[in-house]
Amino acid sequence: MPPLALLALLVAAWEAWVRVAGIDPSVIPAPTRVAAALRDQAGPLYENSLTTLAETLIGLGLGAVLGLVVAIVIAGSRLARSAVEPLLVVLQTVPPIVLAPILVLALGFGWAPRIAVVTAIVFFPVAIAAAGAFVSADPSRIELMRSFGASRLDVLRHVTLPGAVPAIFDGVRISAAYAVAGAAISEQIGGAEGGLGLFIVRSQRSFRADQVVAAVVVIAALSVVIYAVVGLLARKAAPWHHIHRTEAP
Amino acid sequence: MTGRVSIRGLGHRFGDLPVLDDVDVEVQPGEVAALIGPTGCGKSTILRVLGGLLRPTAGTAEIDGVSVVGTPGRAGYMPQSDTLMPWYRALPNAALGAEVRGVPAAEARRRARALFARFGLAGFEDSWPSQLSGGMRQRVALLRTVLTEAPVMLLDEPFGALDAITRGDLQGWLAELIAETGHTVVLVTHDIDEALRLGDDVLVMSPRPGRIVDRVRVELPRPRPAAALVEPAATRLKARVLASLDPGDATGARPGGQT
Repeated sequence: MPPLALLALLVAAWEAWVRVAGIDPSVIPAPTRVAAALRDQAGPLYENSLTTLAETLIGLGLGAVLGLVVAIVIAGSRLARSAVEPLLVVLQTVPPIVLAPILVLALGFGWAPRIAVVTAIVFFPVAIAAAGAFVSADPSRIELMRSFGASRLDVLRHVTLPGAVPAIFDGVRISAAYAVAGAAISEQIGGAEGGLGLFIVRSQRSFRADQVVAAVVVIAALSVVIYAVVGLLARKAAPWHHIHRTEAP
Repeated sequence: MTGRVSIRGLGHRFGDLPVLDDVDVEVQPGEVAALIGPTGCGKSTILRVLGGLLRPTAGTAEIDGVSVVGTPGRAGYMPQSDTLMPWYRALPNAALGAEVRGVPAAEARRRARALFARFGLAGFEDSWPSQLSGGMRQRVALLRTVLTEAPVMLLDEPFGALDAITRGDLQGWLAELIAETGHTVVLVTHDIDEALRLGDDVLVMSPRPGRIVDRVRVELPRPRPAAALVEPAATRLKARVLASLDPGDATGARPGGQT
């Protein structure tokens, strides 16, 4: 596979460069040193990644649910929409990670500030994607439902919500890529008793650049896995969105 | 027999734009009234009033003597596009109307399943709408309408999006179905052959603001296969409808005042 070949080539170039130039391994470690750190620190990396993973998954779930609830409120009321939607669009440009120090002050030194950062990372894309999907629901489908005497809840259940499922999962999937990093970085800001972010800080303090890079590799791997799992869940949740049109007999 | 439709003095305007003017329509229980007219003449607006979806600015609309204005759910409405839900397979799509009207989901699906073969859909219960042909999607939508168990069906150009051959087949099939079920039908169409094959009455409408300019009683024997439309009795009716649609076209027969 060409991408894997390219990756292998880049790693080999990195290894060669570090060796030929004789770079201090505490500044830039060679890939072989990183691999050794991954092996030697497998236990601590595993333990710490569980913490980060838990924060990420809880934050993802909370952010998705909150985003969905806000989108439903926006879709249900013109006033709420005119008040909330512009704020959402402006606020989403603020990277949630810059809020981490404030959240630590506000929420204390527990899990809460780190989960809150991930929640904020997921909340905005989901709320905006879901609200967009709700508003663009086909009016003729809604009118058809009304002709059956449907309540607003019926319309939500049979038309707007199912129609928004792909957009909601897209929102979660896009933010999943940032969620692990968001959790790890907020672990570095204060109060964490574990997690890959704390592992990185401790490794930096003892000049173990190889361990720092090893932790970054784990964060990247977790991000890729979560991205892929959310993609799989999306296919499960909206199979109709992924079928190919076939010629009926 | 129930399902008497009665519209009197119906008028409607969207803002400054008058779309309907003083429309009277009477449909006897079990009969089919075909509304035909140029695009934008307000045909669909009449259906939406009968569906309880639109409050007209003037006039009354009743089913079995009770006003339907602002009360959706009294008639089975089938909009122009098939409006199947892409996220439901064929069977739950067909059951949706009954389900929303309060039939438990399992029972609604059981009733739908029992009629799938009659609607030429056997074996496609678990297909997604995007896997069905246009004609099959329309039959699922019709089944959904039938299962609402309303005595009146409001069909808005049900076969408008289909090719001519499929449309012809489905017109014959629908005529048979209606004869079986005894539904009262208000059919909106811009296809004269469709109006003559299905209708007991053909109501010809003027361009906007829409008014009924001619009522043509279709006494052709049923069933009316496509070939029956080339019989002299049918072509006379066709000529009259054409003339009523375009009174400026003097080559057609004169629009008759009688009904």
